[in-house]
Amino acid sequence: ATKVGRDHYASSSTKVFRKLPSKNNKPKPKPKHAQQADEEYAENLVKVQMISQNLHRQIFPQALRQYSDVQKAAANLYNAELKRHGIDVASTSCMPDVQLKLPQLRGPNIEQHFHAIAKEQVQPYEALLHPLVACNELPAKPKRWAFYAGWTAYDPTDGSATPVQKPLEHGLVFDVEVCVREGSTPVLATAVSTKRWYCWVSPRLTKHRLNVQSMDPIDVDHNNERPHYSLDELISLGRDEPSLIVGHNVSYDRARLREQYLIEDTGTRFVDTMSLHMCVSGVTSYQRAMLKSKKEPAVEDLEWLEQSSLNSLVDVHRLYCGGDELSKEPRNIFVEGSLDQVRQHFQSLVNYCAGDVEATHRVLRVLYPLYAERFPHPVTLAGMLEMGSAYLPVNSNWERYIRDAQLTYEDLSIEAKYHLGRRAEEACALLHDEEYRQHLWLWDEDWSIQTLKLKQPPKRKPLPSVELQHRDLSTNQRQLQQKFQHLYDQRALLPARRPLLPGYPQWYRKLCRKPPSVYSEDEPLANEEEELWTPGASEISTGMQIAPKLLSLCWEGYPLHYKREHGWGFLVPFRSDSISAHTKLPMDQLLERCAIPEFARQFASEEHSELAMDMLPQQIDEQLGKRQHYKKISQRQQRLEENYKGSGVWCNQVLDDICFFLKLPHKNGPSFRVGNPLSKDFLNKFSEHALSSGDPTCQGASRVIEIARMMSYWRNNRDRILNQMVVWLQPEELPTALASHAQRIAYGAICPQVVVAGTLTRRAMESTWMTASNSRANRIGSELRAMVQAPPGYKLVGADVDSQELWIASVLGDSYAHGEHGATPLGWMTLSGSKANGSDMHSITAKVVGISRDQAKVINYARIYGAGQQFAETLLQQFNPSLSASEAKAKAMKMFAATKGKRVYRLREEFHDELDDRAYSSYEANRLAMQRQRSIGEVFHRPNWQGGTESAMFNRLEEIATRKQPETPFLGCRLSRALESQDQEQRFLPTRVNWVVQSGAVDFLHLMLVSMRWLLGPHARFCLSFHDELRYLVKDDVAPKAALAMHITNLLTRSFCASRIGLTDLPMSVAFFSSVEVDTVLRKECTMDCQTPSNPHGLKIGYGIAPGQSLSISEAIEKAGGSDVSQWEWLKEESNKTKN
Amino acid sequence: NGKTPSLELLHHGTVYANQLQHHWLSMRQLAVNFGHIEHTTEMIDQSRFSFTHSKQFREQFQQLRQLYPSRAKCPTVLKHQNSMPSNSKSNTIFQHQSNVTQLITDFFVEPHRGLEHFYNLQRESKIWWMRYSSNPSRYAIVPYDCHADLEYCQAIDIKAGFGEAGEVTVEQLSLVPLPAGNDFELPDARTTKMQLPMVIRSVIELEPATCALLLDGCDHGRESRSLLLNRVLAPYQCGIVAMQKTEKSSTELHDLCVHMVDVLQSARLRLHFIDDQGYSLVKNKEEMTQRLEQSDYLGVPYVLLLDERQSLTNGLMQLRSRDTQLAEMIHISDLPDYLLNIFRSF
Repeated sequence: ATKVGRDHYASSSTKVFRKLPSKNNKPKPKPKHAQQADEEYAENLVKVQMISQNLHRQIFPQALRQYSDVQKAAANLYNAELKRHGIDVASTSCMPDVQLKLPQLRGPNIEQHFHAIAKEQVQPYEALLHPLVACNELPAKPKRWAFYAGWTAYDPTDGSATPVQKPLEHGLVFDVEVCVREGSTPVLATAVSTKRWYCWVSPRLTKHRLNVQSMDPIDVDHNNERPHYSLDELISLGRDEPSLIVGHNVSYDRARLREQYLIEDTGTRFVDTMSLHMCVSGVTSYQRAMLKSKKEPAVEDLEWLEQSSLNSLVDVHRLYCGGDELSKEPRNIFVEGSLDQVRQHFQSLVNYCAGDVEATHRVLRVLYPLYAERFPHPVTLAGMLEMGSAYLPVNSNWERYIRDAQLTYEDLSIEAKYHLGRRAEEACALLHDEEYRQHLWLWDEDWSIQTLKLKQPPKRKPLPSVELQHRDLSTNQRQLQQKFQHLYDQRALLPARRPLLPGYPQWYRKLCRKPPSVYSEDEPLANEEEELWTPGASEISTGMQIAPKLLSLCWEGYPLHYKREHGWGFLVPFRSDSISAHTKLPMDQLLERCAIPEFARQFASEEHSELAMDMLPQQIDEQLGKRQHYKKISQRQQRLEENYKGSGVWCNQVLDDICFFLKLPHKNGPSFRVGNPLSKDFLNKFSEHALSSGDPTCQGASRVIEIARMMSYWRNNRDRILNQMVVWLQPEELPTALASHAQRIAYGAICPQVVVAGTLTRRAMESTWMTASNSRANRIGSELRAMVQAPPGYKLVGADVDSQELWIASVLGDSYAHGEHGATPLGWMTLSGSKANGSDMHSITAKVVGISRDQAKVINYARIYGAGQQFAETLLQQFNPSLSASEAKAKAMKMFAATKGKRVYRLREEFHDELDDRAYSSYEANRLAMQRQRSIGEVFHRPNWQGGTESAMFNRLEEIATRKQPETPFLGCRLSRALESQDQEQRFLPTRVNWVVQSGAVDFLHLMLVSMRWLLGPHARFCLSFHDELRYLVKDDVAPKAALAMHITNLLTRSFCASRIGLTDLPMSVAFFSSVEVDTVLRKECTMDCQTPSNPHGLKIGYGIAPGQSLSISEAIEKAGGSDVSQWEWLKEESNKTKN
Repeated sequence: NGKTPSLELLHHGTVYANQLQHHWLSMRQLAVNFGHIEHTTEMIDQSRFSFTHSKQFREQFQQLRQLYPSRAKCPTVLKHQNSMPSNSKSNTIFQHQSNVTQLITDFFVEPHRGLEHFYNLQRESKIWWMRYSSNPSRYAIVPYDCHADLEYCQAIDIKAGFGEAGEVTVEQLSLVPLPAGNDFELPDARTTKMQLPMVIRSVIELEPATCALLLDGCDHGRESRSLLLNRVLAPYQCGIVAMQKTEKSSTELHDLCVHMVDVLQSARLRLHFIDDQGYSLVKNKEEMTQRLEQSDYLGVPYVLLLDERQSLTNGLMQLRSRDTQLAEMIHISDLPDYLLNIFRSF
């Protein structure tokens, strides 16, 4: 370590503890059968407990657990380094050993095992895919398409049409078209195999009656307008053999295939050319913006621009195939037109659809070989096929959930509206004696009133007489009526357009509706209720500009104010003397509420000339050059900013020479304007302390803020959730065991439209489920995930990979630096730190910086993903708005020095004669290089990180990221072409570093998918995976075995990863999941009750859903009926098969 | 006992309670209403969930089948009222002195959707109370701690909270399965299959609930004068005040007032009567302010303001609102329709 590093860490208080076993506090408890335990127990050179001997023998049969003298000597060095970081390697205690008999691995080692099983899994699909890729010329397209409902096959030679049940071949390129305005179901589709063309036409289009009666939805409100899809409206592909469908963004087409919704998997898999394209040529979000921009590209962008494109079929086709542009014009009929229009243009529309199929095929022919070359491991394709078969079972509770969420949303919006309405009414009274002039929020509203005046009566003609009701009147009453008849008659003199609420201020009138002119006795119909007129501010809502003003909201104690050009901000006074008589600002009230802050006082006392510049920016513009002006302002601004400690954003705006206007902070940065302080993003990010009501008598304000927070989640996600295409199953479409339940409860499914490799890092993308947050007590509808519910007789089994990305990053560092698990400080903390006693990495960062653990987690991951110190500063300020810029900077620096370490340069060999061979700082390196008139890269090697807990990891990640052809460490997957070109190395370095970890995590996921399929065969249906989470649908009796399979999958996957980077062992702490959830719903943890405003009673009471089980490895072994996995029936069969 | 005050509704309060009762009756009009039923000792002793075993409950159910066969299916709604000694254990603010009127609604629902109906009713009822309130956030649904051995029973109270002062239960909702056997079976409205429904009972104790609503009207952050009663429920919806030009009483203005009283009364609007007279004449601004304050105290939402100068010559008058403290100009020919529209809905 360098001297600098030592200075930093001499006093480091970082200590790492390990969770103690509950019963025994001694460091290494001896289990009862000490003899046996000793045989199983293993630890490495840094005293990290490794997997039990029996497991090691099965997984790493060739590797011996012995250390050479050289290794031991090296261990002394890195043990000393750990100690220097405050880690006491002897402080740990051991975990119970695990005894398992795994099924026989395929091949001599774990690496070949995975290769073999993945190869076997993709084989049937490759057999269907390769002929399509190899097919140079597709069969001839028919000249004319037949208008038959269902599938029609076309003879490749004479084009004759034959109706068929389903396509005859199993490998197809396929495209579906939907008439968007008529619902989500398909109207037509075309497909081509290597043999012939097919076309499918919806019976809705041919007007053929559906054979099955339209289903009466069970237990679902009839009068709600939600669409109710059934299998009969979808396209059938049959269900007997494995088939392979190729399409562009194929998940959209998949959601319209009938068999995909059945509970039993049919073995059809999907290859998405869009995902293949993302793998081969995906781009960063910055690059995407460049691709979309119309501007002339910069020179440095030209290289990658040639290598990539946006994701649409047109763009992808242009990139890989060139030639004529695809025409997308007929598409408009599908987007905007009606079924009738589709009928009229049937031939051209089918040709258009078939054209897309041809284009997809051309893309596949070029793209697939590129993909196969760059992603050589069969696990990658196997994983992608599996990811494309996601399946989410739902039942009647789905509709109930939507109903409840909508109702709660309406209830709360009524409540919020009511509070605002009350405030508005109350504020009206300020009109008396113009009291509003002294109101800090409402002074700049429009308080003008209108009057009701009668027209001049016509001179000659008498006014028309108004007929009055005089039934049931006494003589006296009738006399009086006659007496005042002339008053009624003057109705004719009222203006034709009656002013609304004459006598009320304009801003209030804008919130009111015009009353109906007459009263009718009839009870208004229920569905017209919304239209029913009510007096008062009935049109008010939290989204309106008046709302924050009515609630008298303050930011950091200063009153909110709105300016069109800057959005919402607040007023900070800076002078109390010589207040201009012209200002409308209620300065007395402002000063009474908030004293002039010190930094602003300085501003007021500055020289007059300078002040004038702020006052009259237009004049300055005329007198000074623009640049100079901005510079001056920015200097002044800088001074102010340094003194101002809050989180408001300076926008160079002074009101009436008496107060500043500062913008509210926006989550996207200072250049954005806050359009509504009651919106979700704003409330979530910032409002914790800084936003409050300035009026203590306003009971409603905090409640309205609370309500706005509750409503925001649903408002932002509602459309996506309502638009989920749920297909409901008829009792006869369900497995027999389920049919009896279907009398009362409807069962259905959602096929989430997952883009299996949707980002540069090949992570999957989906807009509803993969972004679904956990349920929160203050968010309407956030119980979303729990509404995915296994049908009776089934369970959802799954787990979250414990600190997946952290482990990947740290194990890369460990293996690179010392070839031993846990040999770097980060590695050791990851393997042995625990959240429970605050010794894991996030807790430690939290302690060092003084933030919450969750916040530290965000920052830690951001750093590991390659984000810099600057980004950490921004995050810190977002977490804590009252933190000043300089404080944030200091905290971020401290954190980075402790973790990432210091960057040092080493001389290239040719300079060893001239200079000392030691570590140079970047300042020294730059100076030395400059002295020699060379670039820094010519004199020095690529710099290294030193002295931090994570230095080894960063060195390793950067080493991979700066290679000529970076590959993921586990499956050898190449980086996208768009980022691969050499001169982009530095420019995209953070992205590339990020890619190593995240893309490594995708490899990890694909490995798990392959392993699960191997262990469970057809007995598990893949549900969903996002990020580090994996869920399967299994039958009740398989559930415990599936849980054990999950644990074993973790063991094998991590072993594979370790083996790939040269480690022939695995630490016990990461060998198994901390728990596998066996549950009936798709919640994050099986005990979460998901209480939300729309589910106030929780899942247990409100829905009658019991908590699930959470199984550790030992519990899973027990429930699965013992540790001999090789005896599972289907695995036994399989092993017999392979032996034969 | 000196700690919790004993309350009794006086004249205005009773009028207010009648309004509340009237609205309870007109809600869910499809119900079968059995009217007022005298209480028995059995009813006083019964616990929250045991009413399904009472004789009276069984009789009512028989009546439903015999007298209203078309309503005897699932789901259906029955209503009745009775008078009982007060038993507001959950009321921490005051005691009600004399007997209280219980407004009881029984919902018979399909058994497998019992919970869902129960939650919907909770929400519906809470909204019902919220709409009457000056501060809708006051109401909360509070689970009632039922004994663990009562399977399938669930109960909640809807409570109005008054900060540190405490809370008042305004409605009790309980979900109870019916005793097994054929006695209580009803045909499903959709499938006509016979089934044993679940029952959801709602109990409102009218007088304590009325007191709670009155308290609610006072407990707001505004000037201390106004009683913010909901305009639909307010015992008096409108007052009439006329300003004389001079000290001398004007017969014309007097007549116009009498005429306006006729107009509003024949439209069945509830007019505020002072000294047996539906209006008052004032001589100056001070008197006017006094009158308006008085009607604010009583929670009268609107006052019609007449004067000699305009009203008597062209029919223009002002409608002053308690809630905004502002008056809008209207024409005599707008009445009574404009007011009727105002009072039509919440």
